[in-house]
Amino acid sequence: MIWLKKNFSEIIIHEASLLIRFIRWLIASLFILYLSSGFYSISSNEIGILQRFGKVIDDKVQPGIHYAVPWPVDRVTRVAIIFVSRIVIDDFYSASTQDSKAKIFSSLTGLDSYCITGDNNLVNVASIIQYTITNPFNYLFRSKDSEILLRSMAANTIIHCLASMPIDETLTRGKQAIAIYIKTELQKRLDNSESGLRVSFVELKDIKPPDRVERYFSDVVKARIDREKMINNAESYRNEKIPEAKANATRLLQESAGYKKEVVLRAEGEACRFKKMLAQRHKKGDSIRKIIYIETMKEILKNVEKKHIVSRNSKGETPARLKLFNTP
Amino acid sequence: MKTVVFIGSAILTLLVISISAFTVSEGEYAVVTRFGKPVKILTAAGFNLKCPGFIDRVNRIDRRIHTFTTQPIQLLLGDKNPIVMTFYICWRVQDPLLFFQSLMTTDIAVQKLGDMVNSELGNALGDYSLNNIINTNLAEVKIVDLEKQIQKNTNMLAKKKYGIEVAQVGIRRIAYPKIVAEAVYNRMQSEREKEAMKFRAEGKEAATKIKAKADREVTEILAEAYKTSQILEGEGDRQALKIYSEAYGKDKEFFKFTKSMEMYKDILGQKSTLVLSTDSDIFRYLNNPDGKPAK
Repeated sequence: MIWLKKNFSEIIIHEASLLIRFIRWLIASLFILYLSSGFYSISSNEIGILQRFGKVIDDKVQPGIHYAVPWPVDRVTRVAIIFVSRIVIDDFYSASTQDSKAKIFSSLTGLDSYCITGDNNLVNVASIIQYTITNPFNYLFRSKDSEILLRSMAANTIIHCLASMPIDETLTRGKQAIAIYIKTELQKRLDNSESGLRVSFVELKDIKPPDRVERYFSDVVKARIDREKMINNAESYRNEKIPEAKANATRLLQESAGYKKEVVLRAEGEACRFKKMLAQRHKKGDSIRKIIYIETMKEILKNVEKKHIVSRNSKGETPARLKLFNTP
Repeated sequence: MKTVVFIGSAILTLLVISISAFTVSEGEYAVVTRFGKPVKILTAAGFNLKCPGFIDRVNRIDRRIHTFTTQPIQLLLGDKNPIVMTFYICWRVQDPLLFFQSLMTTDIAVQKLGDMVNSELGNALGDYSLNNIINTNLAEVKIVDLEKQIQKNTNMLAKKKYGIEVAQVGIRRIAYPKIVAEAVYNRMQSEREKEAMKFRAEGKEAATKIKAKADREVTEILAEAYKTSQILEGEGDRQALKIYSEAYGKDKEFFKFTKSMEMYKDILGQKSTLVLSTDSDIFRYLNNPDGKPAK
């Protein structure tokens, strides 16, 4: 019995030491496993923030493989810093798109969404803002919801900017100025509020008069084009008429010059002819006159188709004869 | 046996630590209360100890900046113009103890701050006219002053009452009540109609001017040309006359004769009817070969 007892206890002790050894090994390997779980990696577009017992001990863990004491001591948060986020500020745009800020406001108050310009006109604006996280620490621990902050401030900057701008400028050459104003002013405020964000790009997506009055605005643009068209038409009228008149004038002058030349030359020719005849007459006396007369008559009588030759002997003067003389 | 003791004590230590240790993160403050009474305020992040379990409690308070938008409110400006506004408010807990003691939570804070801002707005807005809100002259726009005033007053009040710092207050949205907006729309419409009309009238005026001027120029050019052509022709006529008179002056009678001959040739054409007497000189020999005139 004693032997048995002794033997039995020996077996128990033996078994227990085996169990303890096993447990020791188990604990050791679990501990190693636990320690090795502290390896972590940060990818190239991220930055890591390392907290030990909640306190930040490194807010710029660069990309690569790193080691941190595992839970519950250390904690790593990854923040994408290269990534560019984009929000649309549609607070002042028409409430047509679903779940836009404009729609929410409209359902809350029954009012249209718009922004007011310096000369008391209403205008719809939508702008796109792109931003990146530049200060992960502030982004995580100093600002609760940076996007809401950004959105609110952007809306505020738009109100500030338009409050001193006339509508005509807003709709035309002011676009660039508005975008620049939003960007610089927004950045200033973001810096003041420790948001950890940086505005990288601001674009005015659309800026237009409200739907209700838009066609009157486009009609002004049309009217301006109409004005140019009318002036252009008048100018082309002028460009057609004046050269035409000049051409007519030139023709008239040319004709007159021709006439002058013609008249003078004719006169000279006739004068020359007359002089020649005169010379002949001096030479031959009055007989030349007879010759000229007869030549002329010959020519005339040859041409004239209806010739009546009336003898003087027939004395009966009839009215018909007189009439014949009167015919032109 | 030793190992068992070691393991046992290690487990016990860990247990004690786990119920009496706590961490404060970067984004929060912590107020430790003992049976409800604040005993420790922790503003720095890190590892901390407290009396275990039920004795001490850790109350965590978000220390980050919160942003929210107030409810729309319609108010009268100093010049009796009605306006609808909403504001955004950035705030954070500045005094964790006071914040904790005034039994604040984030939701209550948002509500209280919203009411505060709206009532401050009501007080302040009477000092501003519409011309101070919108104006093409930048110097007249006082929005920044309005926002600053509200922010300052709200901040003072919230700090004193709730330990909250109001960092920024800004107009988030600005609108007119329906009737006013209607009037503005109508005014915009008539302004644009006027402008369009003006452009068209200008175009018409300019076009008419150009056309009239062109017409005048055309008339002038033609008249000028007519004048020059008349001078030219007259000059020609004068020269011709001079030549004629020079030549014909030598024998006026003969000139008359030759000119008459030419004239007969010209005026008696094919269609003319000629009635001639046999007495005429050319028919002198028609009845009488001797050439004596018939008696």
